[in-house]
Amino acid sequence: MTQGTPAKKVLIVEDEEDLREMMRDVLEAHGFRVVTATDGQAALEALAREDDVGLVLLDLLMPRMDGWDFVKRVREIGAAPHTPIVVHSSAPAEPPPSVTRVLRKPIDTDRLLAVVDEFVKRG
Amino acid sequence: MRTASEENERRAAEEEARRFRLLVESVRDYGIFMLTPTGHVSTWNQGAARLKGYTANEIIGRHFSVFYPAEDVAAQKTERELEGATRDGRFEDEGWRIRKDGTRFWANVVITALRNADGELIGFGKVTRDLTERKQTEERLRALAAETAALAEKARLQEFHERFIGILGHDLRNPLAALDMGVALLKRQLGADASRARVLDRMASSARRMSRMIEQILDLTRTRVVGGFEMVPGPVDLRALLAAVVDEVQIANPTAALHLIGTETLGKWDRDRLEQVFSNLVSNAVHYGAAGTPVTVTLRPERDAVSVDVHNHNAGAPIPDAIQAAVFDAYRRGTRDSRSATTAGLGHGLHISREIARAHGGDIVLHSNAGGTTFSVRLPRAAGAGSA
Repeated sequence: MTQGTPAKKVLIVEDEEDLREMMRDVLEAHGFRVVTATDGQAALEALAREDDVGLVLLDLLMPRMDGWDFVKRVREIGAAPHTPIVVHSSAPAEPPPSVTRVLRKPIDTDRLLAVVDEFVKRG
Repeated sequence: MRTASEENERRAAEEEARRFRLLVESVRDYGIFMLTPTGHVSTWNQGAARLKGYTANEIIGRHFSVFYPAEDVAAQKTERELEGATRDGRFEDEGWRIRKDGTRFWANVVITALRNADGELIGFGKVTRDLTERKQTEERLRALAAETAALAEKARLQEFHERFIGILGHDLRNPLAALDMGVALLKRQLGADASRARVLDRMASSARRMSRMIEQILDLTRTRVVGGFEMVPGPVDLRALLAAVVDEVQIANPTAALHLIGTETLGKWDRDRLEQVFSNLVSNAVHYGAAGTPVTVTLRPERDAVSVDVHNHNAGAPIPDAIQAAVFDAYRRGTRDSRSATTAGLGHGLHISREIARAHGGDIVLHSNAGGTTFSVRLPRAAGAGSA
């Protein structure tokens, strides 16, 4: 399981604490490594701090820095250029261009696990 | 005996009075005339003739109440105006007046008491202006202001509804998602404890049901308030979409017999919305059909359109003709309001499905007879269909 390089982390960006922590619990219970951020700004800091993020799960409607601005900023500074970004949102507006996938809320456990399994190995 | 200079003064004064009378008589934009102390017309000018439609011959000697609407005369308005002018020297009023031909005009009226050197009342001067145009402009402006206010109110309401949708869509769904995940996680950790797992299943199905109700309220609000669904059409193979829907319903209803008939059928539609439509129709067919009988989904491609029939065998009597159209109405459901986990929702599913079909330029119709019940969805293939 843990031969060679360890599995990459999932960065969950979600302002709603219950949902964020529940996603963390679910993913960790299924063997994924998780870091979390409460908004786009915190997510940028997390990307700068953690060098082994393999997937960003991004909410769109957040205070301080929303998902659209986060994607724009990430592309501008060229952070994590190969890290897939999966948007999970119920925002009626268009998701930012250049994201890898959009998961319409409400997300359930099966769909969450399926999409994370696609991009990141369980550690 | 007058002196010569007195005679000259008198002539000059007479001449001035004549010229002044000429001036007054020739004024066309104002009705200027005199009333006797009792209110009878004693002089008339061109303006008055033009404004009120009477010639001097017709009106001189008549009481000025002929210029007033009957209700004003009955209310003794004319008397009060003369009393006011007598008491204060001047009386001003704006109101409706009547022309000879019976039409109304909006007038500004000034009545001035005229007194001789001894202070004795010898009559009244009356100046009348036609302000109908100004009045109409004012009314138009008022109507415009009211219209603007109504539009602003409508915009405010629209904004409120959109915010309401935002709250439903985002703020209510997130806690439900957390709940749903928590239940799934607990169930996994619980292992083989069947009685507790049942409790968790109930919790999960409640959360899902609530989630579906929120979806329906959202969709209903979109159709009713915000001006319909926004379609995001893209290339879709309807056969593949139906297969996925049938699989999903099959997983949720393992004992159901579901058949899909049809081949690859390409078009340009909103994939998510069509999934919603067929998921609703196929689930309904399973839940309301006779137990143990098959549900058949038949895809019929035509040149510029496709139709999909979702057919089941009736569990009881066919849906009566009289209520076949009504099943698509919001706020009703064909059967008793049982709220089991499988028939979750608010009963707006068919209404929403038909709205989605219509937003695609298509429709859904229902046929129900002894042979069973069929919902037929007809969708035009958008331009560029088949080239995808």
